Amino acid sequence: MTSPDTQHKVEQFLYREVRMLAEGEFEEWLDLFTEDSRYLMPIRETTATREESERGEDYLPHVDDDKDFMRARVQRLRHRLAHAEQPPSRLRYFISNIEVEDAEGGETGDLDVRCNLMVYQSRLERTEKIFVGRREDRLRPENGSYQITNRKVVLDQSLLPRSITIFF
Amino acid sequence: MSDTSIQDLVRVDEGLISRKIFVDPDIYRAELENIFAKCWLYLAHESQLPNPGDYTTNYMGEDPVLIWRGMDGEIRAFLNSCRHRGMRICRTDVGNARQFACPFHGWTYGSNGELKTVPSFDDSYFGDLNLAEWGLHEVPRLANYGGFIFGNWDEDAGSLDDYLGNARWYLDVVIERAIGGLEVFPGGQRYSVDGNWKIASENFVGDGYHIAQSHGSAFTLPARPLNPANPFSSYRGTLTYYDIGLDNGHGFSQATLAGERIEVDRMEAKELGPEVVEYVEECYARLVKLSQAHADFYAWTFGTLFPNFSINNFSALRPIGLMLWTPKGPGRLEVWQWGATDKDAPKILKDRVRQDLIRNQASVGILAQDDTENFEQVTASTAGVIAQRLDFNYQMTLDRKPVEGLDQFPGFISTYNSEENQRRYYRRYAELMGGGEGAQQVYAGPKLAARG
Repeated sequence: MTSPDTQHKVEQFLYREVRMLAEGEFEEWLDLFTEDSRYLMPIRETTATREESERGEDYLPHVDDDKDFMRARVQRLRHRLAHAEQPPSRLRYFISNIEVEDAEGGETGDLDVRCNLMVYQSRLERTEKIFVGRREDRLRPENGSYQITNRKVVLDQSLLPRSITIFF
Repeated sequence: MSDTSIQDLVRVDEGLISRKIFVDPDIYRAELENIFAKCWLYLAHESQLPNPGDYTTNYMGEDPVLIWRGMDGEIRAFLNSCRHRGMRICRTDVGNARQFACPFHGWTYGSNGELKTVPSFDDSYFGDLNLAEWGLHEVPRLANYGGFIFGNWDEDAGSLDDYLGNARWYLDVVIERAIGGLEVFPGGQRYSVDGNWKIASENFVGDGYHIAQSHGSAFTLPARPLNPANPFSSYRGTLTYYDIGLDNGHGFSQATLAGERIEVDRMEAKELGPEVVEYVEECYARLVKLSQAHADFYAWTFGTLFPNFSINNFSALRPIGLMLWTPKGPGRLEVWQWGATDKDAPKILKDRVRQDLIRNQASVGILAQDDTENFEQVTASTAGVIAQRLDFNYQMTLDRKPVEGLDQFPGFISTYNSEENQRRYYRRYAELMGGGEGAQQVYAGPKLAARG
């Protein structure tokens, strides 16, 4: 069990983080990730067992980014020809069920944080899409706050409602 | 299909196509009948089904199909629906099974499709049911070209070889270039697009014209690696592109024909180390063995096999992207996407190819993101009655003749950019939609690799 104080600090960190995403502060959001961080989003398939459904790294994932490519994605979105998000979608992020544990095998003070995620995307006139899943982060204490060294986003959908043009 | 005929709507010789064909529900129904129940449709790659009992699922038009390697080793495809009351018998995407028992009443089918048992055969049917007549509905025609498995609902259809026609000459390049044969990465991406399926298919058959504007943001990234498709790359000026219009509506786009691509690969391979340098040379030698023209061609960039299967491949160092634009009504399609590479490619290359694929033309890739916006908004802005009175313009290079002096390459070779491939695509579409058989074009030209 982590202390109520740690739980509170982590929750505040996560709330601030998704607010950055909703408000399009992508450069500030990038700063929350360590230089060696990895961002992974596996595919989901309908399989006989629950365990198999979340496909591992030998399967084709939706996303497998290092910090450099995350930076490139942000840079692209700032380009005048990035039609996919210009004009920008209106976004609302909901996170809940935040569980915080001391990380196993990490550096001292590292935390493993799980949360549920729901993102509502409203785009142009009437495009409305909802993405639902969970996130697994590893956080490292940094200057009184945290940095993300690893993020895994596991959506529940095997068929994505749309090509993903936003960050989770 | 109301009072207008398809010939009035698809006027390819004038380069004009009515917007109606992208939104009209009656036309969509007719497409399912005249195109998706008549054409050879891509189902799976044989590397996805290595063992007896392996299965995967897909759609042919709107009909769900189960592609299943039988316990006897033979691959078959079936309508994924119980013959009794229509329940989906296989509800998983992929797996291995000796048999499927229908979840509804328990009719049980073997891997060759036969109905093996029904519950209460003696008590309820009093033995009065001919099991032999009620096996799974099998896709009557199944054929494999170099590992790519296609199915056709039409028993009387011509052969897959004739259907692919001279597109086979070009497909041979990716098939034969792979030293260990092609291997599809496990797992497929799927995403929904609120757009008509033809907008996506025709985009990949020959629309190089959209790249600078639609993908300008992606191609100006400093982090982006060398890429022959990149209109802003420093060596772009050294490449001469062509579009290649092929039999039966197929087309490949942004091809080089003078051996430029192997030079790009050689440049790139040097950065990746001696193992990759050696690999590229071996791939090249394999193509030279096929013919010098195949080696000079080396790869295309993107292309579509009519009606809805697109294949991307930039080079031996790049992914082979396989995209199916599955129709889900006039205003929606689902992208079912896989990636393939050479089974014997060096590990460093396989990892790179996988990453390249998912970062670019894929569900969260920086190219597909902008394409999706196009496909959706083209369809949405065409919904009104006024828009449907208007035509789309396909007049680029309308009166141009094929480029001369390239007879070693089959097909209609256009300068780049061109809309010749799109016109050929819709000419075939109109032939099939017109109800006529639209006699399949049969390829006779430069030598093809021997393939069963």
